[in-house]
Amino acid sequence: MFGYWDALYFLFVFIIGLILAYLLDQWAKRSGMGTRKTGPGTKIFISSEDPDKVIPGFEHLEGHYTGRNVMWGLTYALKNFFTALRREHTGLLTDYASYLVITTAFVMGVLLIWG
Amino acid sequence: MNCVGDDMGVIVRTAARATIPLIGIFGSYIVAHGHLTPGGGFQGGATIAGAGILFLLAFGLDEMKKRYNKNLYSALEGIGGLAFLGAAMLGIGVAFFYNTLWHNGPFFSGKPGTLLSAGFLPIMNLAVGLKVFTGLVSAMAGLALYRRWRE
Amino acid sequence: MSAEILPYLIIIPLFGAFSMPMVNLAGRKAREAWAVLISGATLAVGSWVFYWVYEKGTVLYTLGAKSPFGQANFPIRIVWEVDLFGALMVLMVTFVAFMAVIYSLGYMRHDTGLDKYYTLIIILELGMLGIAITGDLFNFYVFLEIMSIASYALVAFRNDTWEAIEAGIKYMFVGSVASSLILLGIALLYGEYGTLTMGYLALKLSQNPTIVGKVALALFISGLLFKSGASPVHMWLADAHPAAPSSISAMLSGLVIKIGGIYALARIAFSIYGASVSVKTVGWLIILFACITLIVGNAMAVIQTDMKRLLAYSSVGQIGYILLGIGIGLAAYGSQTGEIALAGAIYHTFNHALMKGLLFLIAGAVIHQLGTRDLNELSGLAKTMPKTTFAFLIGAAAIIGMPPLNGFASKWLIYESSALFNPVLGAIAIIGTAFCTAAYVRVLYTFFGRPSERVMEAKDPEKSMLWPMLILTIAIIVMGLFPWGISDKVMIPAAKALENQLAYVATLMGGG
Repeated sequence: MFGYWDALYFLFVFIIGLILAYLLDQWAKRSGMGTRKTGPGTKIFISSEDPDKVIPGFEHLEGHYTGRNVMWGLTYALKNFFTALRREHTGLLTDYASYLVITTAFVMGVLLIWG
Repeated sequence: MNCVGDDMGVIVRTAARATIPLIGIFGSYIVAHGHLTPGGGFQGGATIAGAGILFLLAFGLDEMKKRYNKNLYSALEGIGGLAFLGAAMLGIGVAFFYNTLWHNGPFFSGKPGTLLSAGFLPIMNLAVGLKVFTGLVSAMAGLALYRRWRE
Repeated sequence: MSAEILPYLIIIPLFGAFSMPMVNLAGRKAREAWAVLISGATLAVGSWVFYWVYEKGTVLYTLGAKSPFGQANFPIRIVWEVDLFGALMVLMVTFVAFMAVIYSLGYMRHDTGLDKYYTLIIILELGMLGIAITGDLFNFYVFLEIMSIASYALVAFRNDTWEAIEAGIKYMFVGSVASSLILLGIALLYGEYGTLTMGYLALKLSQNPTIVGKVALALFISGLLFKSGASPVHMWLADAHPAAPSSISAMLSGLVIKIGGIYALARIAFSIYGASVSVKTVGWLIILFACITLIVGNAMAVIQTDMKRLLAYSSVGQIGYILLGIGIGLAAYGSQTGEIALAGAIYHTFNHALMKGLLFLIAGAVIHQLGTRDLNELSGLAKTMPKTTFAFLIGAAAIIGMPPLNGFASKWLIYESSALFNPVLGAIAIIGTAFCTAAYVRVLYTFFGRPSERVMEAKDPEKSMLWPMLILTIAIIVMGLFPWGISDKVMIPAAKALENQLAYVATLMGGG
């Protein structure tokens, strides 16, 4: 049968995942670079910028940007792709209309040849 | 020139006084004969609205404000729509939009080609004419009232 | 009781919209009560229609007479024909529109001109319902225009900002071009075959397929791809949906692009053209656009900083999944893979209406509280708006396709069938989901981050805004608990009803 799935299975997987995450967290606390009980070494650093870190001269920006750089790796790796996409989204009405006309011509060509 | 208000001067006003009733009568004719001749509720209503727009242009916004009541026109527009819907629902026992007046109704069931024929069509034309007239006049009054640029 | 209930789906909203100017004279309370009453009654009728069609099969309703046949031996009257797919769309429209109207009570409280707002929102619902039930091509165009014009006006409803006016004007200009393409297609078909009834047109087309029919199909496909926001022509969507008031965004993103685009495209491709063009070509054409849409929509969502714009691009991405399902359903017409893909597409249409409706309502609550939708200023909302954030967590997880929420089942059906049909398509679908996940993780990270001062005075919205969000959340969770039950009992029969062109025609022709 197509697509056999039970919500109960997910619950088991989710609980196992939680246990694994907890164990991973414990392990990281024990063997991460922070061997200290207090201070910056105790923090587990996942991604993004450190919300508690104060950069001299930029105190006014402190801690408001927690979501901004989360996907930095992805956006940086695909920088050219995203730049090309952004360049196409000009916001000009004429561009919208010409895309519509091009789409119509393309669809009509395909349908007339192979349809 | 005593062009103090935002009207278009005495020549245009006089001409408008003469033509506005004529435009109104012609529009009413188109609405009333909607089921017999080309045209109908929308076209006739738009023609009558032309009279209202001519009034607005010739006599200016100040005069228009005195004669134009937003709530009344909104309500009339709603009544036009409701009358259309009511005419469509007269034959709901058979089907939505069933022309029961034409098939077995007490009136509007005369010989085809006469004025009192065609069942609910004259009622619908009147309703649509009312709706289009009030709607277009309201739209023009709104454009004149709420413009946001300076002269 | 039989099909007599069907016209009330149109009569009730029409009555409500036309009487709104008079009810408005009685004051604000009367107006709001009237809007809720009308959309609630429409929901009741819509549920009844769905139940009826689910139990008894396709419903045919003729306007103006007992039977669609006049003096002639072919159908000349306007007919409404509702199969299970259409009935499902009716249920979806009435439900989400009811939620949006309730939400508007609180959300639009500080705006003026609300009698026009409620009139337009009911007319928008009316147009969508008309498209879902109609069986006549020109009737379809009329309802499409009613829907489109109401949405142009509603996008520009908050005309105190130039953003809304600009978006509304752009949407109106390009949308009118797309509508006129569709009208041109209808005119070509009418000129060639002399009928507008969908079922009879299908018969005539299969007897005598012509070049004109193919040109008309091309015009339909491009116009409806535009209306559904598929990729090369999706740019109006990213302008229009964020600029509208959030309750309207929920309806535009959740319903309008589905009914005016996806539903109409599926109806025309399957029920009219199913037997008269090469379904493989049409299917691959739609699959091509679906793949572009999947990647572009979800990828653009990753780099947005505006919350509503992110949601709008995410809508584009999800439309890609639905189009992929419909494309595979066409290209693999008749096989089990195609049927499953189609069922997945229909399922995802329904699910996405709930999810995107919920997410836009949440974005509206955030804007209502904080006055901004810039993600860089929203960090730490979880502390001050816990219920809203919880609802967002559910909605985001559902749209990513996390089990056990409802998005999982529909996406799973699409992945599975696309992987069976062609593994490359399955891979593309997964890549799209990766982008989608990235976009929503960014938002969630922002919400759960350290609170900024601006967020500290926010609080959960009032009841009339919170309840629709909660109901949609509960609907998502409950639908997630019975994924395969819903799939087997509703979605697969709906896909079968859509695929079965013969039954569609037979319901019409046998009605005399």
